[in-house]
Amino acid sequence: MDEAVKNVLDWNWGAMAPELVILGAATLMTILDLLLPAGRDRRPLAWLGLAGILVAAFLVWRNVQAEPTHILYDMYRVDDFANAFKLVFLAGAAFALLLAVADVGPGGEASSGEKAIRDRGEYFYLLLTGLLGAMMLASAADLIVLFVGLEVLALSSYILVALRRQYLPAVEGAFKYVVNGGIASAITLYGMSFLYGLTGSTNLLAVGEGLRDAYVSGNAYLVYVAFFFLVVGVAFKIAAAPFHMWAPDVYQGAPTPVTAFLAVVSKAAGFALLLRLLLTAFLGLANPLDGSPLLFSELNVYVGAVAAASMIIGNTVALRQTNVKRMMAYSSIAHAGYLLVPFASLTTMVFSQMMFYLVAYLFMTMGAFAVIQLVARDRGSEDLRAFAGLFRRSPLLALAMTLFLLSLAGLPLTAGFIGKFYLFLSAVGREMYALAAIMVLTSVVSFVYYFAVIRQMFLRTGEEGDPGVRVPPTVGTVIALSAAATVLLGLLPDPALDLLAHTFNFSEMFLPLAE
Amino acid sequence: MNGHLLTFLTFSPLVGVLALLFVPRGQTALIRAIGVLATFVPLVLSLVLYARFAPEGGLQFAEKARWFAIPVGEVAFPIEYELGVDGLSLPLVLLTTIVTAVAAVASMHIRQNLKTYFACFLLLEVGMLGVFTSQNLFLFFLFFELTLIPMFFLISKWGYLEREQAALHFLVYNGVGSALLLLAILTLFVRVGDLSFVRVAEALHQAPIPVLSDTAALVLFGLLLVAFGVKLPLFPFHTWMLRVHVQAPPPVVMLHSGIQLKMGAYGLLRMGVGFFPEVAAKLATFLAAWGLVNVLYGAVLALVQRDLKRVFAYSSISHMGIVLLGLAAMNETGFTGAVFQAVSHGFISALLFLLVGVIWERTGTSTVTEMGGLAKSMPVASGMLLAAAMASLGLPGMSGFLSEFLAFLGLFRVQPVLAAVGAVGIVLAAAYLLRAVLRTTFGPTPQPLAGLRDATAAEVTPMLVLLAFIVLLGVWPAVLGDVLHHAVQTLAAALPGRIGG
Amino acid sequence: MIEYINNYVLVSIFVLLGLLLPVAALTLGRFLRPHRPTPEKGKPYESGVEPTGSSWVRYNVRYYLFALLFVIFDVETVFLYPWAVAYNQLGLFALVEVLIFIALLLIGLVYAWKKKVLTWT
Repeated sequence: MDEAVKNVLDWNWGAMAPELVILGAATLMTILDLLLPAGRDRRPLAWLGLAGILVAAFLVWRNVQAEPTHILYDMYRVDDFANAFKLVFLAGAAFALLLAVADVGPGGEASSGEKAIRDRGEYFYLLLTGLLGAMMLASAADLIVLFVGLEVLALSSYILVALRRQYLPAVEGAFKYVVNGGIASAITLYGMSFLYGLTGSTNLLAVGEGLRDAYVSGNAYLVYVAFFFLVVGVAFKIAAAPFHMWAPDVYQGAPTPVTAFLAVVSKAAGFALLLRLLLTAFLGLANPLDGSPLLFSELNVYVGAVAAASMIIGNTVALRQTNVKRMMAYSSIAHAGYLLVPFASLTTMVFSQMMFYLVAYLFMTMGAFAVIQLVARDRGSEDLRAFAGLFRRSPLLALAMTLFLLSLAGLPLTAGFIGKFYLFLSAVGREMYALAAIMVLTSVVSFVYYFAVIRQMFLRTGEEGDPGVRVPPTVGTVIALSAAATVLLGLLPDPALDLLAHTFNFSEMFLPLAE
Repeated sequence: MNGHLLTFLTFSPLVGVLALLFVPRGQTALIRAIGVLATFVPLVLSLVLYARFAPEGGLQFAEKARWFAIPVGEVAFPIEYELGVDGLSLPLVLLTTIVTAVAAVASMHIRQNLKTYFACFLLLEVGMLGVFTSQNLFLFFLFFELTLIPMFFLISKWGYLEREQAALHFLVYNGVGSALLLLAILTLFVRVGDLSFVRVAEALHQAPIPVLSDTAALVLFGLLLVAFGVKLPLFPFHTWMLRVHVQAPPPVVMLHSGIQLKMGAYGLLRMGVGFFPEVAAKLATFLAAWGLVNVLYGAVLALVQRDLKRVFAYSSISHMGIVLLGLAAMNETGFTGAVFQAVSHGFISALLFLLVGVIWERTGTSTVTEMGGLAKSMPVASGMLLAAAMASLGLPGMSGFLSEFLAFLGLFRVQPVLAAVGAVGIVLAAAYLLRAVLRTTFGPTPQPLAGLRDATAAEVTPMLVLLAFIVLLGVWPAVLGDVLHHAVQTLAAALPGRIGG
Repeated sequence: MIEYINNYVLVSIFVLLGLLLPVAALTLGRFLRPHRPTPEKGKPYESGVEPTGSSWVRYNVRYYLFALLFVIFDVETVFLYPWAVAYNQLGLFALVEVLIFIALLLIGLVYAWKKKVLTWT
């Protein structure tokens, strides 16, 4: 046998076990979906998917404690950076799956009518394939794998958005998403082609080294162009301004569980892409004159501008929204801006800052969307006014929603506050006061629209004698878990901060690994 | 008990919230009883605190526990749970518990959604107590922001016609204020690596190499000034406060005018002067001028208002200007005057707004020109109103006189001209208060207002309590002065260019 | 950097040549050929059939689905061919890999079948 072709079984496939489990679960769900008779309830498939996610989460957790490793000639790395992100993805997908079960269940929005979803098997397993793409993205150590992961995630999302086939906003959103996503993928790919052209390699570590030479040997301009294009691609994925235009329509048109999936998993995947690709490739670049790293002195200004634009546009345009999901879309644009702040003011804390905020964001966003889903299906409307009198009808639900909104607004004693406090630190530490000021002041602007929902819930009266909102157990679980985590991370953030700082060794990302 | 007295004190209203959770909505009498009783617990605890406080002791009842740490690379910056009171915060803690208890009793006219009302009310008390007891910037900020949320609900749910707009204004203005505060706190955290009041002050004053450049210190002081200036409120940042005073229900205005405005004064003294004495001393003239603008602006506008609530609101702006004047004196007397004024105004404005509420309940109006001759039908309430107004305009023997006297005395030593101009404000105060109060209580009675019921015993009791404290401070200032002396001395000692105390 | 620019020079020469050749050929032809237009010669189809109606014809979307399926299996062949040629060197594991590949495609085919893509109504 030829030396170059390594025996398939010689690879350490165990490293990829979580992805294989998810792939297996998705495949199994597909086959079962095909074999089941047309009229049968598809919801058991979701439980299968959930089981797969739990097994995968366990396997990822086991990898956290293990040595970092790579397979397929360093195309695929399993390091703590990847593991941390995978855990977030898995949690997000599990929550989305739970919400989806209720969505097609009895009384669910997608169970009948204009917003009905007939392809229920797809509803569940496409969430899993999207998750698979995100996981590949987090582990990719090669431009090609990175792009494949990105596309697997994107293609799954496109279909998920379009699942409510009879509902025109869904079709509109999905179409906009496909077109915009296609353009963004093309731009990302174009940026990657520059990286390959400059360095002659698709391996990220090799690209990082090659870029350093390319930069000092007179191709600085092309390096900037590559960075520019890659940031455009990332900005699209995380819905950062000025590449955010798709988000409101997509968020509104997609079924609420899918919106939650996009807001959490897809966005987190975008940040995984941002860190993995841009940090490994561009961290080594230094200005030949004074030796200052480019990512700290020049390129970050560009990222900072994107962050500032996102925070300003997201938070101000959200003020004018009356559809709650559109409002949440703008809120998520603003959050993309907040999350870019640690990258713009790069310090060694960047990983724990982003991870902590992503975890906080995962819970508060999932919780908020879970409540939105319940209210929307109860009232048949996603308008702000649907929340009127919620405190009277279902006080617990209203209190939970208030908690999530306060956390999103970054008010104290919630996960969102600690997260934002942590994000600010690096901006102030690096003396980027303008960015910090924009962040705090736009947060204040965000109070207005978050409190608009709160005002509806507490101060407006719904119709007299309305029964309470029925809470299916799956959605109830999501809300309860999210609320508990939001409070816990806000009151006692120490274990989480400690975990991020000490258990996860993010710098493994830059480590060249032996065979 | 002594070890955790402050924790118990600060969080004791939560017991009431918990109890309220288990009471069915219909049981209004029980809910009211729990709500009122729950404010008595911190009241009693704060009196215990006052009794055990050693006037010469500095920071006391200190508690400290590890809370969490922000890891930065290999090191971790601790953020601790630190409580404590000194002479500066103790009077304000007492003010908080007393005014809150009185306001809870005075909430008898609130009838809707009592359960939620008292829950918010008690949460607000936790926030306010926390602001005055925390000894850590992070904790301070936490409580500072925590007051916003229940306050928002209290204004927007139980207020008058334009309550929601008022609440939103309140939220946004104070949000911006606390955003600036957060920026300042973070900068200090990054430079000093600690957030404890004591250690930040130490680091800023005693480090061999200055932690902050002069410009940085100036900017930080400016941030704090604006952040607390919004709360106080100072002249161009005051518009929200007028809306709140007009739109919020009377007991909530009592809390707001009586206590929350003082959070601004406290913050300015504790952080502005405490952390940056050099900058504060440098800007003394500017601060005095700003205070003067407030005094005169508030007084002149109060003179032309037709709504009783707006008269008192503008008078608050004027009186808070005196706090700033006392502060700008940058000496012991001035600081003492500032704190005295804060506490005294807390009682007086609580009493004034309590009376406004009582009058509103009967007449359905607070417009001065629509009222008159109330003294005939409501002699007790009118007498109270007159007494409160007298206290407010600085009648000797009541708390207002002493505090204004001290503040101006402090300022006269350093800025005689500004102080002299400022004294005009006191004359104006007499004019606007007497105009409004006399117009309401004497003169012809308009037809619809004839034969009103006088204040009931339940309404008079809280008034008497407040009046008692106003007189107590006026005739026996040592109750406050003794406690305050040491803290003010420490503050003043840090000022540059001081010879002796 | 110079090398990099040289590449662009080469590319632009190719582009210019590519444009030049057809333009030159057509211009040359125009000068050499006789020019006697008749109405019949102007018609799109010299068979004499007159085209009628709009040229925007709507095709059934199923063509698209068939085309997709076709492309997938076409690509499959492209992969299978080199594997078959090198079968002896690659051995058992490549066989397993190819079987997995075919199995995945089969699932796709079954999916299309179940979703009634293959029926024409």
